[in-house]
Amino acid sequence: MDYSHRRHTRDTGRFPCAAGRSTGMRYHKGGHGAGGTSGGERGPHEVELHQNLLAANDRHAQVIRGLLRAHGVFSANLMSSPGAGKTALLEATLKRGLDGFVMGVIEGDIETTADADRIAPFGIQVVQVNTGPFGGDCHLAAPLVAGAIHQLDLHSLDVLVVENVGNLVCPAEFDIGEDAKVVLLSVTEGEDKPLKYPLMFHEASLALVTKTDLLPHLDVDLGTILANIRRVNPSARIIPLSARTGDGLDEWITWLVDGAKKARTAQTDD
Amino acid sequence: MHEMTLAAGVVTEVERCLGDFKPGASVVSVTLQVGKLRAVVPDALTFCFEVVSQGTPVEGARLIIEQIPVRVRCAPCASEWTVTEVEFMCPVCEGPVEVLQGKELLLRAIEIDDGTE
Repeated sequence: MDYSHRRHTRDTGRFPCAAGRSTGMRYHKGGHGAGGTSGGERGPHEVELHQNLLAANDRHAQVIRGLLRAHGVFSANLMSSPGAGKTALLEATLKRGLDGFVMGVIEGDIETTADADRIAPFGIQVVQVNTGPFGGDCHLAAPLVAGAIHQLDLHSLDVLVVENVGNLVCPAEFDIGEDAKVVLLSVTEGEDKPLKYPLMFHEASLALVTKTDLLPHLDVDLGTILANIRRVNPSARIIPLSARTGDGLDEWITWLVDGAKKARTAQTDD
Repeated sequence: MHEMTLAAGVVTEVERCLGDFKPGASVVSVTLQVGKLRAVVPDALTFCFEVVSQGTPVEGARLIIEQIPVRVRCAPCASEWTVTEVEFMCPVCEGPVEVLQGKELLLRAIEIDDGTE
């Protein structure tokens, strides 16, 4: 049977599902190919939906974005492979301070509160989110982040950093209402990762090349790492840094502070 | 494994739409459009779809995945091309390019058999 021959379009009002309402669901009659008769045809028919599969996630993300903007909070979504140094960077950042701006943290992991436990001694607001043990989601989705945000006092925050689940693929797919996506790549991961995991590096507006203090001990070339990031995302800002020695840390902190200032100005303007 | 999350989302949406048809209507096929930039593995998504749809009205439906190539445009040059290597830099002016297609993640259509014309 040839279903490619579509001739029948009906009013979308018959289908009250959200997809039909929002996108103009089209209804196609199939089953009228070579074997069809001129009347009373029966058989499968195709319904065009054209629905974004991430629509539900994106709706939650927009709610989060609106909430953060209303409170003048700048937000960054920190993403990387496991062990690239996200938590170490946050520790170094909190140790150094944000020139009077106040930071809160949402820690995302499949399991354990280990990361939140490392951040807690700094006396800031921190919420640990677990996606679930034994094969929980490998990324943070907006509904989960929304739940965490409701546990925070946004009035007293200037910056919110969300540390995503360690994974260089899936977190890039999900908008969590952040102002900026930040990707970390440690020099120990090798030069080719931006080319192997392009979506993550393409989506990020800031790329942090971490653990630069280890460069003398490795057979990797920092220039090649930077060039590979630029091949995938020529407009990304790139900051090489070491949370251990503090090299490059000021530039990262200035980036956060600038974001916080812009968010505060935008809030005042509204 | 974002394929499992995506498959669960597909089944939920299709089930929701199925409520608009006669009881007993069955889903013959589900067609998705997936951009190449999405890093979705079609075999993995098909496997997850089969697993997640078990015991639902969507069970047994065929999953059709239409892969969309990545097309980009360089604003200064106004040239357009399909990206085959992972390179988002204009070969002429080395400027950043805009992605025109290749990020799709759409439930494009479902094929329903509800015994009606």
